[in-house]
Amino acid sequence: MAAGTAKDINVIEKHQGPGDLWVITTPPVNATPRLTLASDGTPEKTAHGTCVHLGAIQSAITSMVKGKMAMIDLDQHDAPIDCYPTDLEASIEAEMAQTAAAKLQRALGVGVYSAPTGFKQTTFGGLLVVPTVCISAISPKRTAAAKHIVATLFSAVAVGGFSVSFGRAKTSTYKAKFVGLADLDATAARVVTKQVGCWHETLADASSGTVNTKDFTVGEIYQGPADLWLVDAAPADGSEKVTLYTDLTPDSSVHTACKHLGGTEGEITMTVTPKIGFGRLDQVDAPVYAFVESIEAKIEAEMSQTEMLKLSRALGCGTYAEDTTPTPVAWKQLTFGGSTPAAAICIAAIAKKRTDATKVAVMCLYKVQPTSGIEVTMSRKKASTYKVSFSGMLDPTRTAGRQMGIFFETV
Amino acid sequence: MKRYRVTLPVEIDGVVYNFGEVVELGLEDAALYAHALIAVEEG
Repeated sequence: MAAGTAKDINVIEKHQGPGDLWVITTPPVNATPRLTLASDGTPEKTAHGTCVHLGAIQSAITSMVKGKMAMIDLDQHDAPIDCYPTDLEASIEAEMAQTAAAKLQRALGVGVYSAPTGFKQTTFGGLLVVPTVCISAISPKRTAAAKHIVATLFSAVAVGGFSVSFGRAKTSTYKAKFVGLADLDATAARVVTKQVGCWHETLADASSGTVNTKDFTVGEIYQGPADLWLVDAAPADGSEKVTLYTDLTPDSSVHTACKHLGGTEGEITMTVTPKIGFGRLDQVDAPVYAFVESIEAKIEAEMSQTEMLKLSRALGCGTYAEDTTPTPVAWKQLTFGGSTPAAAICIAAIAKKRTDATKVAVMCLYKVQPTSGIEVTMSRKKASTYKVSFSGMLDPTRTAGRQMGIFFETV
Repeated sequence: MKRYRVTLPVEIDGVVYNFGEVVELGLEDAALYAHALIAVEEG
């Protein structure tokens, strides 16, 4: 007897809800590519080791898999007659809320972390090897908190870098992104169809096993103003932090010629963005290795004081002069056109921590040149400000991994 | 002391250990760098 076909409309299958990002110490194996969960939805410790929670998420986690389909065309036909997947791209990305040196290092990948007494720091610039990591995103189902949607990349690399933003108006967040490689490691012995990752949903409640601990540290969420400094002399290789005096400004006995760059409008931001290239094999649809093509680092701010020396520093290719007559100084001038570039300078932003005004976070680029130009606005209705962008350069005389700059925090 | 594989570059006591290297550390140092290390042998 003829009959219609049932539709498959099931609202329970609509997913909505937050998730957590984890670095998985012991990845799922080839035979069982699914992440094993403990009763609270964290990676199960016996199976996956002590995993690293990446902290609070500012907005959604997005896991993506995309096959690039090449159409097969024939001249006799006006449309493709078939297709073939040439590349596979898989990624997990999220906007992260905890600005801590260790977490920034994870987002950057090619940075060096260290924790000398009283500090935590991540330096960057000059590393060649791109670390790989197994990463999972875990989200409880909307209608059943003990069941989960899980996305795992067995071998992923960080490509998003990080940004740190010190300002009064909004919290500092950064977008972290991890791209999956085909895991061809001989020990892992992953076979075709499951070389890159696994998404799965659990249909039974997670109810046993040893839980891992989430890392929600509210004190690592930054908000609040900073000061921008020209640091002279720059921190030396081997003592790569800006030395601070008790008032949390640069110590003038170490950095003898520092200059405060004046008031700022809005936040001061440092972004560190690696450009990660991927290597491929024709036998594999996903990338098989990653390498650092370049790193871009810059500190940006909107400055509010229209004073010729400050403008000169922000221009970088002008010539400053001032009246040498004893006080009062009658004039300061900035001329331009035919000037040689100014010497590279070191720039640092120093911000007191939101939750402890005796502690600071500092971002510093050792060798920068301004690249944004300057402007003066003359208006009855709008104060004159100018945006500065200091682009970081690499100092090859420094230790690899510390050749461009640093983020450090006092603890 | 215990042996750990480095998953993210770390500098400990002035020495930079890169991704993939194995470093021997006491428990205190291992805790400071926990996010960047995997124990080579469990136990």
